[in-house]
Amino acid sequence: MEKTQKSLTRREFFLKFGAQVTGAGAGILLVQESIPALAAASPTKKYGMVIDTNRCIACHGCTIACTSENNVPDGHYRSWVKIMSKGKYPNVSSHFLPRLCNNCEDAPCLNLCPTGATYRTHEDGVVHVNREVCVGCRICVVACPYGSRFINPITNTADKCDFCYHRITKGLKPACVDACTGKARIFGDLNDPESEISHYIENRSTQRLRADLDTRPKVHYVNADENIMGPDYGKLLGRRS
Amino acid sequence: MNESVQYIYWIEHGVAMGYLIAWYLWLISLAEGTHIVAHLSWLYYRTEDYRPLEKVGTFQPFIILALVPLFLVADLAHPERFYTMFYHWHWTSPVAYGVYIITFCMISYAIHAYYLFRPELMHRARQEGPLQFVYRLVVFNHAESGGIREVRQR
Repeated sequence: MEKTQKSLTRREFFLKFGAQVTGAGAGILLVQESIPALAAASPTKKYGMVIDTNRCIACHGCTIACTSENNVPDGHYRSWVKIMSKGKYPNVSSHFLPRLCNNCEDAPCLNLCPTGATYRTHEDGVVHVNREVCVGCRICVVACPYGSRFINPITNTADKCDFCYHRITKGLKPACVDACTGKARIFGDLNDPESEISHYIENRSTQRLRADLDTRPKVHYVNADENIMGPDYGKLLGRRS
Repeated sequence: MNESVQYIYWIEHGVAMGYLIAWYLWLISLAEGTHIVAHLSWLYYRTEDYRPLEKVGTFQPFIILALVPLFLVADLAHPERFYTMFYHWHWTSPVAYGVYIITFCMISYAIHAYYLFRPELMHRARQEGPLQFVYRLVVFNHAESGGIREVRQR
């Protein structure tokens, strides 16, 4: 009896291959959707911060408190104060802009993280970095339009402000808020209409950094100068503009 | 807006892509360029004169693509964790897609190279020698009769 060999035409091969790839893709998507941390969800709380620049005196107390609280390595900062002078003598004014991660609602760093190490908590919408999963590819550092991320030289992973999550989950305020001399920083739940931060935003006109990027930052500023709110071109302009 | 503005203090956390990424871009361009040129020459003209070019064009990208991931892994701050990118897959990240694209490219090049060299391997599997067992194993013991060109024409 002649041995018959089963042959597969090119069309059949591509049809079968396409069906298998589609099936595998659908399976991966289902698995991804089943992970609650990655699934899009509206958090019950929405932690945010308002910084009243009228009250900031650039004492850098927030920078020191943050560095101390979170053991931030030397030369790197989770929170800092940008300082700018404007005008010509004798009409010169100084402007201060306390900076930190905006924990954006549509964070580019979160979308671009290849392993999902950067994630948003379901309960309060704070953006975190899972140090056990981060591979240190630096794509989030490049992606952040606010320059808030850095590679921690101790852990070799991405690092950034998470509103002192270990404190706020115990009912405390972030270290920078507690240390602020002029009480310029107000932290709280933006979803709670009775919170101090909600009242503050309701009664004042606030700005957000690079609103044109539509990242929806959760850090609001009161009465910040338009020059200091703009993108940093200092490096390109030789530290002057 | 024309007021004189001077930045006195600020922090920059930006990073520049390292030289390993530049090497990666150059090598992957070389691999894909070789692959495309070699295959187009055979697909358009279909003469045996271009067969050696196709063979080189199949093998060289495979070797280059085997080196490319080493550059990418070495650029990571945690190189030992690179394998987590396969199962901690984040579907909105282009880098996550890149991991799979490079892997599938390597597999497809390997399969293509195998079928391109299969007639030669069959021919060698029929010849007596110390490596005959290896060649027979590679062609799954299908050592067909006839010359290399005859096998390829089938």
